[in-house]
Parts: sequence; structure tokens; C-alpha cells
Amino acid sequence: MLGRTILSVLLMTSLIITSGCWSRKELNELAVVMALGIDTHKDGYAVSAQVLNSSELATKSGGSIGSLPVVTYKSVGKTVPDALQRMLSMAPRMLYLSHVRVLVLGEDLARQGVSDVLDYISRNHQLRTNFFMLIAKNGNASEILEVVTPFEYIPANSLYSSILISEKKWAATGKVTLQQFVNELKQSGSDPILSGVQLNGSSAEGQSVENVKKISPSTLLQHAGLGVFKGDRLVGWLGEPPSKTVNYVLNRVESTAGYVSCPSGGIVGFTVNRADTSLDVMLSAENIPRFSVKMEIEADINSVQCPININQPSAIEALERSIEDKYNENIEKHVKDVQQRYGADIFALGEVLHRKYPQVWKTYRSHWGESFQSMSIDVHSHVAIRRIGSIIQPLNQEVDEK
Amino acid sequence: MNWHFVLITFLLIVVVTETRHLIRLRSLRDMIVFYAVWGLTLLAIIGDMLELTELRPLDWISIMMQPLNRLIS
Amino acid sequence: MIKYKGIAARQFFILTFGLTIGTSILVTPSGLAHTAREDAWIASLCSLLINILMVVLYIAIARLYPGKTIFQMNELVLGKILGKAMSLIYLFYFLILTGTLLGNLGFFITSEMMPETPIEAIQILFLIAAIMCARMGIIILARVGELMFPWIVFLFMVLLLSLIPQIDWNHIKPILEDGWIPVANAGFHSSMFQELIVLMVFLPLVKGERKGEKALLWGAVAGGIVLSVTVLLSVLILGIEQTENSTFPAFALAKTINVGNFFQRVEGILITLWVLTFFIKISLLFLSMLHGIKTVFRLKEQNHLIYPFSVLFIIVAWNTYINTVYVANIIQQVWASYAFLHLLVIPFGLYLIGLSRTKILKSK
Repeated sequence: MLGRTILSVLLMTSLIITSGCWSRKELNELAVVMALGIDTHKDGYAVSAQVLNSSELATKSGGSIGSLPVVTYKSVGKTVPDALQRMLSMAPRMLYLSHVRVLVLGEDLARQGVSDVLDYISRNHQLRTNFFMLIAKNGNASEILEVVTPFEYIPANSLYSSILISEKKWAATGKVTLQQFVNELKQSGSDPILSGVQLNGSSAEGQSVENVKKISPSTLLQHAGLGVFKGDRLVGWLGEPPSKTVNYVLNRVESTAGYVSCPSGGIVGFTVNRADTSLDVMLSAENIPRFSVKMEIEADINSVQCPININQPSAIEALERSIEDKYNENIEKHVKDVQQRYGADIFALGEVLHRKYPQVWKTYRSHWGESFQSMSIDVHSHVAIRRIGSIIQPLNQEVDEK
Repeated sequence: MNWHFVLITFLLIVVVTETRHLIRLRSLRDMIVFYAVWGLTLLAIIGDMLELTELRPLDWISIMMQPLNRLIS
Repeated sequence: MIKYKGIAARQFFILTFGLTIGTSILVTPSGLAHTAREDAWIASLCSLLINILMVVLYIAIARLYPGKTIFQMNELVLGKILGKAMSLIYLFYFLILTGTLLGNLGFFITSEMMPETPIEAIQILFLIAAIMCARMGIIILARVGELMFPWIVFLFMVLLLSLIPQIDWNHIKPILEDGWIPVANAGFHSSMFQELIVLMVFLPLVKGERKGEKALLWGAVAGGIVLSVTVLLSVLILGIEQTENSTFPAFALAKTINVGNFFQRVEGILITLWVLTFFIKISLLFLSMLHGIKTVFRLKEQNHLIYPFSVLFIIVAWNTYINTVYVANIIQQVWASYAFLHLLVIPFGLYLIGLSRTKILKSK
């Protein structure tokens, strides 16, 4: 009897010290942060957080748009967590960072160096490592987070989905998670890249709901090419064709579209639906590495704007050859451009050398940035055109009058 | 919460309950060992409350292993 | 402790398996990655080999003195006074080990999952569970282990299978970049964290001597394989830089599980895996310490010592695991040689002395 009493007393006291009670987080006490934006400020960092207003989200299907489903809070601090805590003077609830979908960094901050910011982001146990990172091109991250977007009710989700879809189908932008970025930063044989986003329109008009009440919104968010990093600093932007090149070399292309010119004038458009790239390195006689990029591409023809006879196998083969030539030329040109202008090994060629010839890599490791500029890179592509679509001959062919 | 007081309370409860059990057991050796361990624990708690820095077992281990490490390397 | 031969060989296998995994599964990948870089998985296999060596040595000692626990063997080999002193040295080793283990678990849970909870609360809670288990004895612990084993295997398979799509084989290359020395070094350091000598206290209780020895060996092998697979996965998925720089790499690994954007954010459930193996290890340590005190001082009963001992464990935990940096520093510098002394050097010495003694006895 005494044993049972003691046991029940013990159980009840253990309920009081039950560990979960200290760390309880009630859902109506949390402000879920969907997107974070960090900019430089003369006093340290300016942090903006796009916070979900869950009650507004629940009434979405009901009536018209009352207030917006997200609120953006901004504050300044010496470090990022300092600024986030200061935000609590404005936010009615505790900020909860586990659901961040996108981290936007201002261009000034990227040019200054991002590793200090990323230290907090990696150290915090609430933030996960699989959200996407973007750079606000020619602007501040807070402006990007203040745009009301069509389609998606929550702008952070719109950014997230657009990153996914444009990387999958368009391949001129990048999909970089924090884990990827930190890995590429820390490896001595590679430099990171980040995708850029810019405002297409005026920031002031984008901030209100009026933006999405028109058929053609005045302000849209647009993904704008890749940013080249040397170490943790942004050094330059790549336009659309070089960005596609980078994605090809890094084997991140799933599907994209392109065109090639016909021998007799006009262009033929094609869709790439499989692209496999393999990087390799050979050592010459004096132990100097020569890199080679081999691409296997499968394409479909999607628009014929020149008068060729598609029905002939020779025409298809000629097209394949001209696409291959175009690829080889363009990729070599753009890779050389990145090499000379930035000296940043964003193609991870250093890691390729490290993996295959680790002893040779040891001699190059400390000065890879300079040595990379004089490395030779050959490109070999092999294109196979598979399908030509639902019609055979192009519509602009002259019809023979019989 | 001051955890030391929780532990001291627990120790006092233990000494009360177990003394009865030990007297029924009629073994002098068991009682001595029990009180020795109990006393050692009490000293450890008091030492922890006073925040004596010498009471760090890992430091003792590293001091013990220094001569051996020097032998090996 | 119920003093009849009551542990089945299968239960002993599960206990060895749980003890080998312990909390090493959380922290070894970062140490291995630091020394051996991309060859951390090879280092982990080396550590498995060293563990097998330890098991072979222990089985040899057990065959010299069948039916005796390690504390009794100490007295038989070295004589009463020296033997008791040696047992006390081992008890001190187990005490420090338990404290470090408790501290490790407390720090893990508070830094990753529940930061507002005071560490003491978590440690006391787990210790209450261990006290209850120690009061009831090793047979009950063996049965509890049998209950928990399918869950441990299930959770581990979930971890393994859901991470396979994210493997990038490039992260393993180059293989053996710096040769075998860093690999062997790292393997040696990490093998000192599997304290298989604790099981020597319970080996006599297993039904069937040969079966018990086989269970010990297979348990160590299975545990080592699980650890190696975990290290391999963290290198393949997180890459070297992140594995090295994480405080708890296996947890970071669990965070990356994402199957079809649907099965994600499940690392909270996978913590159960580690909590279960931790519980087995700490209960085994607790029971072996009680048995040790009982043997050294020739007591009649041991259950009443559980309570002051548990308070002592907590105090030791508070004083060893002061913060992560202090502990990591000391472990890197001295723990390997300290554990090496207790796990290999002293048992080997015992074996030699025991061998010569039994030979002398036989020749007489």
C-alpha cells in the first residue's frame, strides 16, 4: 500500500517536471516566418521577416481580400539574431523560423560577404538547411519581400514555386539550398553561385493589393540569372545564355528550350528533355590538367521557322550537328568568359581534379583561383533529336501545285 | 528551480526509507557501504553547490593521463 | 539481481547491439570526418575490427574463468586486495562514463529539440527510468531490450531507405587520399567509445556458454555495421565539410529526409532510435556498477544502493559535461588513451596473468 502511494506521488511529481512543458509552443503564440530578407545597414544588418497571418489565411475562401495574409516586419541589429529579437517589439507573437522557404540577401550584403550571416543561419537549430537562397539584384531584400504576387496568396510560396519551376523547365536560373551553398563555399575546389531575383516594376505599386487586381500586374518578381561568387563575396552577374551554360556544365538541366539557325536562313527551335553532363580531367605530360565536359543531350523539335525538309534523315542529322556545334562553341566561350573575368571556379572543376588526382590537386590547392584562369576546358556534346512533334513538314513550305 | 535542493530532499527521503530496510537486513557491511556512498554523494552535492572548481573528474583524468601520454609520444 | 542463468542468447545479442550503438551514433561521424576526411567510412570499419579484437580478448578471458563476472575475475587473477583495487578503478571508469553519457543526452535534446527545458530535468527523467530498470534486474532489462529491438531496426531502416535517393557518390572520392595512417588513427579513436567490457559482467548469466560468446561477437559486429552505415550516409549526403562541422551529424542527416516532399521533417521521430539505445547503455552501466560494488564489498543486497548512486551520477554528469567545447577538447586529448588502458591493456594483462596462473595450477 505504501509502495503504491509513493509510486503515485512520484508519478505526479514527474508530471510537474515533465520536460515538454518548458518547451511548449502553442500554435496561437507563434508567428510563422515564411521568408527572411537580410540587407546591410550602417548599424549592422537590416532584417525583414515575412510572417504568416494564419487567421487571414483561413478566411481566404470566404470573402474578398480584407487584409493580406502576410505581414513584413523590419528591424535593425548588430547581428542577425539581435535584429530578430528586436522585431519582437513590433510583432505580437514569438517568431518561429522552422518554416522559412526563401532567404533573400540584398546585393550589397552579397558583395560584402555572406559568411557572417550564414553562420547564424547554420547555427540556429530552428532553421533547416533545405530552403532556397536568392540575391535581390540591384536592390534590397526587403523590397522583394513586400511585393504582393498573383496566383499564390503567400508571396514566399510564390517565390519558392517559381524557383522550382524555372529551374526545372527553363534552366537559366539556379535552385540553391543553404546546404549546397555552404558545401560549395567550404570546398577548396569550387566557388558557389546563387540565383538572383529582381523587381519588374515599381516597388511602391507592388506593395498593395491593387497590384494583383489588374490583369497585367504592375510589379512582378522576376528571376534574373546567376550570381558568381568568389569565396563568400558576389563578384558578378551572368546573363541568360551564360547562366544556361553553367547549369549545363553542372548537370542541373532537366528541360529547357533553345534554337539553332538553319543552313538556308531561319531558325529551328528545339526542346531539350534530357541532358547528362559528365566532367573529366586528363593529365598532360607535365602533370598539367586538361578538363573535358561531355554532354549527352536528347532534344525534340518544337518549332520550325525555316524551309527545310524535315522528312529527310540527312536534314535531321544536319540539325543535330549544327546544334552540337552551337553547344560546343557557346559553352566553351561562356566558360572561358567566367574564367577570365572572375577567376571563380563555379563549375567545381577543382573538385573533379581533387577526386581523380588527389596528389596533383595538393599542388594546386592553395592558389586554385589564379591557376583556374589558365586551365583549358574542352567541350564535346552529342545531340540526338528524337521527336518532331505532331506535324511533319513545316507550315511555311510552299505547297506544290499539282 | 534550484536542483540541488531537489536532490538533497531526495537523499534525505532515501536515508529514511532505506535505514528501515537495512536494519531489517541485519548486515553491518551493507549499512556501512550504504552510508559511505550516501556520504560521498552528499559531499559531492555540497561541493557542487559551493561551485568548487576542483571537482571536475575529467580534469582528474587528464592529470592522470599526462605522464602516460608523455611516455607514449 | 536474480542469480540464475536467465538471459537468452538472443536477448544478449540485443543488449550488445544496443550498447555498441549507444550515443556513438550521434557523435562519431564528426570526429571521424575530421581525421580521416572522405575515408571516414573506412575508419569506421577499422573501428569495427578493433571492437572484434576486444570481443575475442574478452571471450578468451571468460573461457579461463567460466561463470565469473569481470569483478570476480579481477580478484581471482590478482589476489584479493589488488583485485578489489582494480575493480574500484573500473568502477570509477564506469562512473565517469555514465556521467558523460547523461550529459551528452541532456545537451543533445536541449540544443536541438527543446531549448527552453533545463538540462537537469531531462537527465533526472531518464535517470528515473534507469532506476526503475535497475531495481528490477538484468532479466527485465533483457526482456525490455527484446521489446525495443524491432523498433530500433525499423527506425534505422526508415532512416536508411528514405535517404538513399539523396546519395551523391562523388562525395566519397578520392579514396584513401592520405593513405592508411589517418584512417587507422581515426578508427582507433572511435573504437574506444564502445565499452564492450561492461558486458563481461553479464556474460556468465547467459544460457549456454558458446551461445553467449557468439551473441557477444555478433552483437558487436551488428552494432559496428550500423555505425559504419551511419557514417557512410552522412559523408555521402551531407558531404565532408558539413559532417565535420556539425555538433550532431546524425541528427543533421535525419533533418535532410525528404521523400517526395511528403515524408519530411521526421527527425523528431528518429530521435526515438537514439533514446532507446541510450537507455540500454545507461541501464547496463548502472547494473554493472551495482554488481561491482556488491562483489567488491561482498554485500548481501544491492538494490538499496541505487538511490544514492543515481544522485551521484547526476552530480558527476553536471561536473563532467560543463559545455560542449570543454568535453570535446578533453575527449580528443585524453579519452582514447584512458579508455585504451581500461578496455585493452588491463584485460590483456589480466589474460596473461590468468593464463600463467591456470597453467601453473594445471601443472601442479
